[in-house]
Amino acid sequence: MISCKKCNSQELDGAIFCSQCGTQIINATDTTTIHPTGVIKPSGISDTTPQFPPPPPEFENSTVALCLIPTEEVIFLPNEKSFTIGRSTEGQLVVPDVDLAPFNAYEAGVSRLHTNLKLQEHRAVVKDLGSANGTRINGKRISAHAEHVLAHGDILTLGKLKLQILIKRTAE
Amino acid sequence: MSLKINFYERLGLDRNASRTEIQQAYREAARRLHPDVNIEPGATEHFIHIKEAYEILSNPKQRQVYDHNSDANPLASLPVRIETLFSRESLQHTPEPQIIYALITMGILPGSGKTLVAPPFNISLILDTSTSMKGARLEIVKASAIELLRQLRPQDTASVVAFDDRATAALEASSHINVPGIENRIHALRASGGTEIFQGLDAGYKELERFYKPQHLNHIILITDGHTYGDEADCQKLADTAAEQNITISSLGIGGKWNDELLDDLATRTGGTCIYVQNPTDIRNMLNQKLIRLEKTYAEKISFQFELGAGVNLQYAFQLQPDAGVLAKKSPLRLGSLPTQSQQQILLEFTVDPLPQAVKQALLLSGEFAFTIPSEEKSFQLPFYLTCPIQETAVPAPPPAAIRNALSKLNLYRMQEQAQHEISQGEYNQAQQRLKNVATHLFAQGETELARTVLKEVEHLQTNQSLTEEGVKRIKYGTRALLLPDGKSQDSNK
Repeated sequence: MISCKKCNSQELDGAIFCSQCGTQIINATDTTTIHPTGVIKPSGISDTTPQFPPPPPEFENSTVALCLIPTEEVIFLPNEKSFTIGRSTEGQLVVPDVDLAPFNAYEAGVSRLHTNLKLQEHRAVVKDLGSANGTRINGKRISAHAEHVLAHGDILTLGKLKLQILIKRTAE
Repeated sequence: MSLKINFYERLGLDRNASRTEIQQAYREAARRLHPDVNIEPGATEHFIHIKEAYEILSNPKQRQVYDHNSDANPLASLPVRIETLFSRESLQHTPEPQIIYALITMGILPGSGKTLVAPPFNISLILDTSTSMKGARLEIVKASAIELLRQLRPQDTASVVAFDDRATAALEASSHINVPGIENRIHALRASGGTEIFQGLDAGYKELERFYKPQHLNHIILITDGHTYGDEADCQKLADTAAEQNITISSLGIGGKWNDELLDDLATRTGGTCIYVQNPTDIRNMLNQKLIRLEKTYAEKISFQFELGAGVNLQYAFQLQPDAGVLAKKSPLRLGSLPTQSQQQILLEFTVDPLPQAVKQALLLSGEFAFTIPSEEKSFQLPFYLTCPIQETAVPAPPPAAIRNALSKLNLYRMQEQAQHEISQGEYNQAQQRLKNVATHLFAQGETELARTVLKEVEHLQTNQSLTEEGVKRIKYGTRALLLPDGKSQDSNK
């Protein structure tokens, strides 16, 4: 017997999903989760007034990066069209593309699937996925399931976790 | 055990097995299955088959003759290939039953089916003209029916039957249909009376039979929006008769008030499909797709007859392609047709009871795929069996992505099924919780619209202790449609 980590129901050996709550109960995922690639320190980021830091040199193949304000770590996003941002928990069915679990996301009130970030030709569009604690852009709460365009330097707050959006500038 | 399994397979060996291996395999099987020790029904028969295999293979001369005569690879000459994926590499010796999934895919070999000329169609279109169809619904259905007739080739035969609590043929079965000549008769259909599906089915079936030929594509298409009362058993009996002749029954159910359980069942019994039509304007499209599908028919009348191995239960059988639908849990499975540029795919869930220590390989099922290729006027019977080794593995390999992906969606379908069951048992709280879980997973999979539908129904359940009839169907067919290869729910597929 295997027990589901989420709802404790008992499933027979060989089961892949919990028949009660639908959670995947075996560890198998081939969705590649993006973890921070390195630590750089863009200077002069304050909590409320977004500054415009220069794009970090490591950008190369990325168009958009997220700078975690508490730790000043930068997560580079590969040039895919759409990402989910959230935190993973054990036994979770769908792991977010960008996993903030290593950054105390749980304590900060980040939902498992908090927002969706869509990249469109040097533009980033954010959509709150009905998260429990909401999403703010530069301190202003955005409504769930609606798209909002982000600018370079905008501060995105997921629950209490603050991220600054860094967008590579076009042909400079 | 089917006798179609070759002698090596009966002993769980491959063709290169040495004499010693053959002896060992036989002794092992004998210890397990000898009638003196194993009183389970079927074990004796099983043992006799194994003994027969052993007697031939243990004699080098006879083995040589057997090898020579038996086609070493019966699949080599087939125009289709069949592949199986298991959710796990092996079973284990455990004191409890265990689960294993098998994903079976039948595809057309490249090069086959290129110059495809579909054999004549023999279609019976059965239209519900009960009072509830009044207005736009019936007008759209009539127009769609005429359009379907226009697209038929001279050699195709078709009939149109209208039914309420009685049935009349608006178009008697015929070929070379002169559409302008009969258009008026279809336009003249008026909505009145109740819905007695058996009346319609029976009349439609009789029309279809007039031009029935086994080598033609014989299909009944039923379009309805209402519940039938009291004649369900007759409908099922008729479906079984039709299935014996390889006639499929497909249904389009409009709106929320039709009997999805019955129409799904008729589809399962005959290898047809059952589609939920949320918006009547989709009917034209759906009939069109049906016709295109028919034109592309490569293999037809696909059925899978099988016997389960000892201690093996088939818990669930689901068809993923070309249409998503629940299959019977017992032999035979009727799978309908295989269109070109598509494939047949079914997912089976087995539970296996604890196995004796001596067993090193479990037979899950043995049976036979049967199908015809109408354009080549050939039929095939293909022996098929599923076995799985039993091994102790410390860390089992993760299941193949194809199985996991299919299950991540199928599980939602089964959860809503379970919730429906709970509602029928009065367990409303459990049903609510389960539907909320379904909604969460739907949101996570990006199916926002369907997820909202589910949440709306949860609210309805809270206040009314039931779901809306429309909601039941949207959730059921919505989660089912997620399994289709394009993965879109019908809701968003407009």
